[in-house]
Amino acid sequence: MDRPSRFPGLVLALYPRAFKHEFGDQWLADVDGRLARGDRPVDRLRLYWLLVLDALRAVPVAYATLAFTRLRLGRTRRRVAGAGGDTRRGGGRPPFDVLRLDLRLAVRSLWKDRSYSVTAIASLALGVTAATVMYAVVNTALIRPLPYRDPARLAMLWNAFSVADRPRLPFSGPELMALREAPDLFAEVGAIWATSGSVRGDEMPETVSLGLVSDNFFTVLGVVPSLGRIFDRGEEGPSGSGVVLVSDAYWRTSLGADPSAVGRTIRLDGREVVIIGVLAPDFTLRVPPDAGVPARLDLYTPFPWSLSALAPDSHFLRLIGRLAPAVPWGEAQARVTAVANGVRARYTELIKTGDTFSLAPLQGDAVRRVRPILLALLTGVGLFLLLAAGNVASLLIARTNARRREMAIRSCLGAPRWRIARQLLTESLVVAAVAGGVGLGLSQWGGRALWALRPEGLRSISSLSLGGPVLLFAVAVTGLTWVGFGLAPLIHLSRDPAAAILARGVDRQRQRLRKAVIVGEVAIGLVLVVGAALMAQTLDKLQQADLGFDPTHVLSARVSLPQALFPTDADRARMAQDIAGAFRRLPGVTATGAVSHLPLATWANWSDAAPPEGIPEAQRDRYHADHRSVTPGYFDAIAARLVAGRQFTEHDDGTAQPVVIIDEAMAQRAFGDADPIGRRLFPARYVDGDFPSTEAIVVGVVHDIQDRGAALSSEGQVFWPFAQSARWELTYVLRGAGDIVPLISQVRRTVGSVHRDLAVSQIRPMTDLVKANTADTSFTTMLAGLFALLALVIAAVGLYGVVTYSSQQRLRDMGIRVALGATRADIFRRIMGEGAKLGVVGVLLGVAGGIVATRLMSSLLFGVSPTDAATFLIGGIALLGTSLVASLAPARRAARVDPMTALRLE
Amino acid sequence: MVRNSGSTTNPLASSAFLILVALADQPRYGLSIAEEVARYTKDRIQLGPGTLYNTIKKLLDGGLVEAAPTRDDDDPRRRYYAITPTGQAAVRSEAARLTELVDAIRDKHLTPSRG
Repeated sequence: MDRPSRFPGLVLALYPRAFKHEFGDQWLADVDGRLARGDRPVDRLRLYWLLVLDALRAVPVAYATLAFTRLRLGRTRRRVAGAGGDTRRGGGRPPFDVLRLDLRLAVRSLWKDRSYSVTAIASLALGVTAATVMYAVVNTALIRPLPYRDPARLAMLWNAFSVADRPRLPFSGPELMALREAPDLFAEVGAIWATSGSVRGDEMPETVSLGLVSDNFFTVLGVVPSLGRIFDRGEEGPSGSGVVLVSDAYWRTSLGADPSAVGRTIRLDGREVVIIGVLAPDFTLRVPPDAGVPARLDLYTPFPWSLSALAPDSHFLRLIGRLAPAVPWGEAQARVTAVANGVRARYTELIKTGDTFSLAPLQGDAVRRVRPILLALLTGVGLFLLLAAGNVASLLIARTNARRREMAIRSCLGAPRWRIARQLLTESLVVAAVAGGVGLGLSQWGGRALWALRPEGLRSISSLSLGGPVLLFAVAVTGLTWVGFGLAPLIHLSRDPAAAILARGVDRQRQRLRKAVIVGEVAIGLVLVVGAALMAQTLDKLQQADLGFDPTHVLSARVSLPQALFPTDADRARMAQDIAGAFRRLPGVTATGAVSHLPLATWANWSDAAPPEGIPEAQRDRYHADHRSVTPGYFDAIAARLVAGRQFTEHDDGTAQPVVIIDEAMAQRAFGDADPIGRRLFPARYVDGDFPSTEAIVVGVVHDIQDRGAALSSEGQVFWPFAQSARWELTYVLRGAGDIVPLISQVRRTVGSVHRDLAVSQIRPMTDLVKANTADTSFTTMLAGLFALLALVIAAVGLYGVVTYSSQQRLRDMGIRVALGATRADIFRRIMGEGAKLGVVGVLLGVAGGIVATRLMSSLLFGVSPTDAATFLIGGIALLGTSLVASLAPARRAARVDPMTALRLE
Repeated sequence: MVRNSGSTTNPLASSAFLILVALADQPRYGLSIAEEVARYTKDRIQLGPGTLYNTIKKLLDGGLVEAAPTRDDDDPRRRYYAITPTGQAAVRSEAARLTELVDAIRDKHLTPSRG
């Protein structure tokens, strides 16, 4: 499409259809004519500005003209038809005219009182925006079905080692087979394991993220590729044909979006594989983050091994099953438990009582961790909306009060009560409609902005849905708030209108209602402020928490050592050492080392049983631990703390006595309070392409390294010397003396100088990983803080209005007091006292509400109690302070009043 | 509320008056009207196309302007508008009203001093 002509088209689209029909072409011709006069960017900008200003004025006029024309036509038609009978309602006017009259009166009276209208519309629009955006996120994440075929039947499967208290572990090959063989349980079960690989292109080798999958994995999900085909049955295993599916992103960036790439052969980890298809652009893996499978992988290839031949205790397969049509969800758990029992019976030496399989609907499981965040935020938004509506109600009550004379006169002149009520409702409807419209517009924009900042758990969802249900929600919310705040001023609409002019009783009642609303606002404000303060403390605690290592001044870089280049363990060990040596020689590097799997990395690591000696087979899994291989110097480089024993040295190589270092969590589990140094463990290690359990001597204990972030404690880690368990993934860490940014450019060059075929990826400061780990909390804190801030402002505006109004009502009273000898300070204190009283009652209510509400968010907190007294105290002081500040101006005004002026009033 | 489009006795809305004045000497199409208004108001008033056609719609409905024959040599999307006798009467009555106003202003020595 021609770019320049797009913007005017968008503006024109705002006009009513009749206008476009009659003048659209001429309108466009004019715009083209203007463009022909000058086509510099500045001219164009000026023209667009003119079009926008023009539309702001002309679009409403065009719609109004249209409505008038229609009304006139309708009236004429009715008159022609002789149906002039509708004289009872609205004093002889046809109903549409009455509505029009009401609307016109409403708009006129709102226009006259602009400060009210703007405040009301602004606060309500903010409330509607916030609620709509939050709902859109909740709808997208929790309600909208997953983008797979019949997603409600998909289940995420977990291996629950309840003895070891690890309920969400992956599966082994034989376990997968058992699940597949269970009669009439699953239609299919697919498996995936995320790793990385190296693709040998024309020049530099490239590190790619790689999904190893069962051949039916995409069939289970019901994925349709945008080009080519998905895997066929029989393409996995050692005899498989070597095929690969590529992601849309990889196809675009590395294959030049060339359709003929399908059928091409590439070298993946030294193996020839044929590209058989390209996945759709919006395809992501919607699996729980703790499955360790990234949402987007570059390539997918079938497992090159026979899954059924894998060791029954080598757990690394993430399983997604499609329930058989006849199996209801309620029964499924019992059925997989039965399968687990069967497996246990078959491998008695490995699997113990209490260990079982579990399953959960994929959609719910995928957002398990963000669900409480979203629900807490949705609650916060709901409170905020309530606050905004309360504020508008309070403003509206004040306004109705000020207009009681007008209403009474109209009533005396014969306007029926319902007619006045309807007028008030129409006014609030106009406010609600405008606010709803503005809120809807803002939410489209705000939704996108917020989505860009979404927490990690939602990264796998590519786009936020702002359509149908969200629009409906916005309309419903607006309608509900309208009913809420629109009815408030009607409550005391006088039964005897004439009395209203004279009596003050109604007035006092209304003011009392208004005060009740303000007290409610302060209470809600306190809940939101306390919630935000708790989140902020959580974030602070997480950021200050001891991770067991120091990420500052540390650069990390990932290097793969592919089988094809380094076939033997010794080759890989030597290469790892050579690279470390080269890094150590870089100027500014004070320490360096490498680990097979960096702490906090979202990549899947593997874990295995690492029992101490003398443990019966049946209890092995109690000693499950993460497996990591490290080079000498690694612990120094990340500044981990050795609490006992020694570090690895160059002498701990493939020919030496197997040794391990364990963390404190593992030491406690395996040896209790006894000294672990010199004791024996039987962890698995990676040698010659296999994972045998090997007797190793514990030579050191490190302080726990929080590899899953500060909020989750270590599950136990076993570190092997890289030379004794030479895995083919390595992430180097380089500690710099100062600024590490200059090192970034040298890392790639250094690795290239050691071996020109080695690919380096993910070069980043380690602080980035820490930041990503606390991103969910930052996100929640940011939003909670925003709501709290807005809540404070809105509550302050409400308080200010009420106190101002009541002090004005009592000017005469004040005048008399001053005349009788009260000082200005007395008056000032009196008014301030009133604000303070409302504040105190609100705070007390808020504390009570907060104690209930914050308990709901306890799962989001870390290092702070949901009923933290100091936080409540500070929140209370903040709200009380806001009340006092809001009362300050009216109090000073009242204190300054001249008694004579005050007495002369009324 | 004053409604003005049909009657010649009520004051004209300002954009309507501006357009009628622009059409007084010859039929014009949309942009040309806007440019004529800009010219004789010394660029103080820029009529955007939306406002322009909204007003033309009212003037058409009120019978103050009418469609004029298009010219073959232009952009085929353009439509020409001409002032009707009613429109001329409206301009004249508005001009008379403004003249009276200006006279009154002059009597009170409120005209802007020049130089």
